[in-house]
Amino acid sequence: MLAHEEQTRVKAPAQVTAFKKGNEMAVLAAKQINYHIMGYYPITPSTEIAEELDELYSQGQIQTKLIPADGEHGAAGICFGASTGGGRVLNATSANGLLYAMEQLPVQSGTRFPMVLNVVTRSVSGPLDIRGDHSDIMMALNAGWIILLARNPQAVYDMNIIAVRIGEHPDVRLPVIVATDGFFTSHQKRRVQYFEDDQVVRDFVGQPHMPITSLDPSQPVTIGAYMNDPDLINNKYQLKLAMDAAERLLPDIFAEYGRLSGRTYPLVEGYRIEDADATLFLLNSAAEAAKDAVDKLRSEGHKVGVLSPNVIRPFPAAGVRRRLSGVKAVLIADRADSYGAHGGNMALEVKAALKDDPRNQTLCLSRVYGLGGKDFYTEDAEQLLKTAMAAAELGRVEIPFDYLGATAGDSQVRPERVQAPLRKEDVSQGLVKAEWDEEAGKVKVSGAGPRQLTAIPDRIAPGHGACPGCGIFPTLSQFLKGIEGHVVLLFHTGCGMIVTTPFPYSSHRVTYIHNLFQNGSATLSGLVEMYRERARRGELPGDEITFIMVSGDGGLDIGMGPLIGTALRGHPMIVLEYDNQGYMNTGHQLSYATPLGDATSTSHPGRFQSGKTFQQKDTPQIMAATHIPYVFTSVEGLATDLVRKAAKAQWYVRHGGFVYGQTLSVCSLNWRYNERIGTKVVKAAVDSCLFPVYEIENGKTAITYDPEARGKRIPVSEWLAMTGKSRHLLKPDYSDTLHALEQEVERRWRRLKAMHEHPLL
Amino acid sequence: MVMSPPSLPKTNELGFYEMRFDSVGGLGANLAGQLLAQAAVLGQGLNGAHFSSYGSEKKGSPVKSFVRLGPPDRELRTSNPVDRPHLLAVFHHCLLKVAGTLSGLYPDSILVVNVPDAVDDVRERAKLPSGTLAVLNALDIAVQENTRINTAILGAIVKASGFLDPSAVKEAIANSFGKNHPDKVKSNLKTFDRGFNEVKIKEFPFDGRFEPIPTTRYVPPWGYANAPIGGIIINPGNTVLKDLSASRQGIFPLYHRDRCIDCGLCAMTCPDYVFVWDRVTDKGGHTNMVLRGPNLQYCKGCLKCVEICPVEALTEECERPEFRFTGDPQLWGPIEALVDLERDNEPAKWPQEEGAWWRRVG
Repeated sequence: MLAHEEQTRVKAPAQVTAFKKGNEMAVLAAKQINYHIMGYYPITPSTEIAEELDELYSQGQIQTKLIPADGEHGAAGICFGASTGGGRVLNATSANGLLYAMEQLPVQSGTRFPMVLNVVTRSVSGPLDIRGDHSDIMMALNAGWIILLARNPQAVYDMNIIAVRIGEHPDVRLPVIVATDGFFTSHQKRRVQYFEDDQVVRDFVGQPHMPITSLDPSQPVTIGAYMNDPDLINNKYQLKLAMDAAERLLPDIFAEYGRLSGRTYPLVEGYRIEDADATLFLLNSAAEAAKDAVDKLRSEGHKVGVLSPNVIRPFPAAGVRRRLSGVKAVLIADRADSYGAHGGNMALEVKAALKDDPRNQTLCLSRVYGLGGKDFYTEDAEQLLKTAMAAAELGRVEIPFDYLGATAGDSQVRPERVQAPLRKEDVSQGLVKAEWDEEAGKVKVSGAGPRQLTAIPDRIAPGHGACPGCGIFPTLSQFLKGIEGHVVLLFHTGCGMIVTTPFPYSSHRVTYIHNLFQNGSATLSGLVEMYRERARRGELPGDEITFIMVSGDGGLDIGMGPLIGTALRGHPMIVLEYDNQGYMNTGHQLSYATPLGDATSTSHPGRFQSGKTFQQKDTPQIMAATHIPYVFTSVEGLATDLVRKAAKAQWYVRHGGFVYGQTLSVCSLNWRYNERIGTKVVKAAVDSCLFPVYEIENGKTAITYDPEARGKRIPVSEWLAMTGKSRHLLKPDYSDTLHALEQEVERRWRRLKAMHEHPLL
Repeated sequence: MVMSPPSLPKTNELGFYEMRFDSVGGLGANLAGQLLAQAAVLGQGLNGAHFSSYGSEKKGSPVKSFVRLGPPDRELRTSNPVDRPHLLAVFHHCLLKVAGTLSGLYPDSILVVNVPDAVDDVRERAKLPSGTLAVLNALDIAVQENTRINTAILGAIVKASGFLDPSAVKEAIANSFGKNHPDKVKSNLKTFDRGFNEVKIKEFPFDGRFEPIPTTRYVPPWGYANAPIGGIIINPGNTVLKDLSASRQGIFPLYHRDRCIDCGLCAMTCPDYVFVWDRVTDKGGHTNMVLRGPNLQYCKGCLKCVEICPVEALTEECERPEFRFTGDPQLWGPIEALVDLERDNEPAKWPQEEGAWWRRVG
């Protein structure tokens, strides 16, 4: 009665009907909340949130300062630091991004600084899978964060608003995750509603009230004390009490939001469950799909229902117990396994909740479904409901735990090679020769021309799925033609990796390993040392294999630490970076290698921002500072420069050194130019001195292609005009940025010339 | 403003009218589906959803876009892909030969195909047992209007559907392009109108000439019982089995042996490793590399080779009927050690229809 009276008193604010996907609804909520800071690192399928917020920022529609981190660990650090400062903080991530940030999650919750993290759920690698399941969010159950679930695009909006209120409540003060099903919800457009006036949302969340901040010199505080036993347990008990408070407070906040919006969320939602004999327990989008199966079976006279929580931290155990008290059998379906636990995490928690009711007789079945984004059809839900019905009828559980949807494969299919392994002699034709030149004090390379080089088979086969005109593959082909003998390749995550290894296909004719963005160098260094140790023990012949790591797509932002570590340790291996100036495999977000002013999906040019806001990273110079014997840069199309540098790199590796090389590589999808002129585009970058081609051999710099000396130098603007990512810089509005870029290019070029001329620089 | 919502001509058992667009990345099927669904929901007052089959961000790979429409009060719960389309639009006619493109068509579904051929010929090619076939040459329209094919195909879809409102879709197009490319609004609206007006629609009752199309769902040949553990691939370089011709957008490099100087620049610049070379020994005993030509099974038509060729031995050509596949398996792939000939001492068994050497006929 009271609630009803209140409902009539509050004038419902106007709402707009729209057609948007989950990620867009997260953006809309964030825009209306107007966070102070967003620290983020792009990862599919959560990336759009930062992309669209950046676009709004460039148009002056939000004031949120977006900070592109060097990785998710860095992003979480940015968010933690910012959240101690008393304002509102947002982040978004998925899958291994969440895991990479994981170390920071208990720091955030243990020090009790609220913020909001959108986890757009995705399968955790490996093998790498970009589609949606819950293997990431299940890892966060013990992080001390509140976890709200958003089952459809509408709920993404609603939960993002509610998250701020619950997290900042004085009795709670915890960070909050809003978990949305990757692709199924994040990328599906639906009919939705949102408040027309941003102020409605701002009034609901209120002014941020942070009793402790790191920015009040009149109240100095120590955040993050050194706290052992017997104190830490009390800190954690406080956290436990905060979770209890959240469970107590959430129903009121949900109700208040319901009065405002007309949309209510119970802690745990039951659909046609009142008299059900058999029910499913499911999370998010799959729970929605299961409702259609329930309707169908109900129309056939079966008493079935669906139970699905809107919150899993705190886990609404009391509600689950109450709703299942009369149910004969519940099948808990998890979109992630807790391997070896005889059930997914939700199955274990539902069982635990029921055990606390000594009268409860509900039979529990556990099934794992939909891993790696495998679709969950209405008929899958029907099948699961029938499994639960059978148990209810039988009065016992036949198979307590199983997978739904795993397939055995076609027994007729046998692994059969279509290509023989490359023989050593095929790839050791002596066409390119590297020798030490005592007089010059450097390695000299002599070699064949393009025609002769066609005799060397490519170590990567055709049939890969790169975009038409991709710059990665001419680079790899040319580089690998300069390498003799057996090769083991390791690719970071990125376009080169994705398009060459779509299971069960591989374009790699030699042994190939993938590891995630941040860790390729370390991984390969481990393998190099295993090879050397096994050779030393006589288990393998030595000196036969050259180890090459291939990175690109900004992989050396997140992977910079391990790369420097590997270089400093000096393992004999090569790291080749195809620098395509952005995170291209995820849709062209800025990387640190992106030039100043470039338009990317996280650096939109607009009235309030002129593209990327800081200068491009100079990775070759960073690597030179590790004093490795050989650093080089090159591009495809400079005759056989790249082939020769490969041969030189191999010479140094064979003599125990570590080599780093970088090539500028066109992205025919995202640079926006006519893909047939790719070679000309990279040559223009070289001729403009934006990408100098040089090498540093035993500390001595040599410019190997000098556009000035050849009379070919062009202004930077000529290169900028060639691609859609940078053409806007020629407009008068962006002249300051253009000038700053030109000055920096000139400064770096002059410095390089001086190094070229002076052996000690 | 929103008029009273139209009634859906057909629905599935959950009450939805469903559409699937089969396309190739870069042709704009995702945007087309989005605009159509948005028009139906916001313009015509239906409930609906739109989404696409997402992979990594790339051009040239197969992509599917889905539209699900229901009455305004029908709650949308499922996020499944559309398995049984009431309307299927094929954005690139090359996809007609790809297994599963026509999967799930009802006997009375509408099939829209972007293809230059006549409607009766397309029925033969598609082996369509029955239903409504709508064909248009969207590429021609797009080239003439300097737009993309997706808006032309949208026009054809709206016309063929019989219930979608062209003015609502045009409004969605105008809004979408108006935001970032206001100069493109007019040409895109004209493209839409031309698609709407130029599409040829013909109904084919079931006449027993072609087998009914089954509804198939992809089941991987490798499963838990036979796939190597750990996701390991033990078949090096097996992407040579793939046919990537559908990645081309109607243009390919034609090789002229008579002009070629075997300089090797095309091979240096090619991202797709399509150039096949022979090692030839001349009378004097010198061996040298001689270009046999591009294997177009792998060519995605970027034309970097045409750009770099110093003697015009490679020229840009449209994929017209006077060029056709010869499919000679001996001409496949890089020759050296493609197959383990020593092991089984017989030539590789290549699937014939995947052969993709273009030859000028006559």
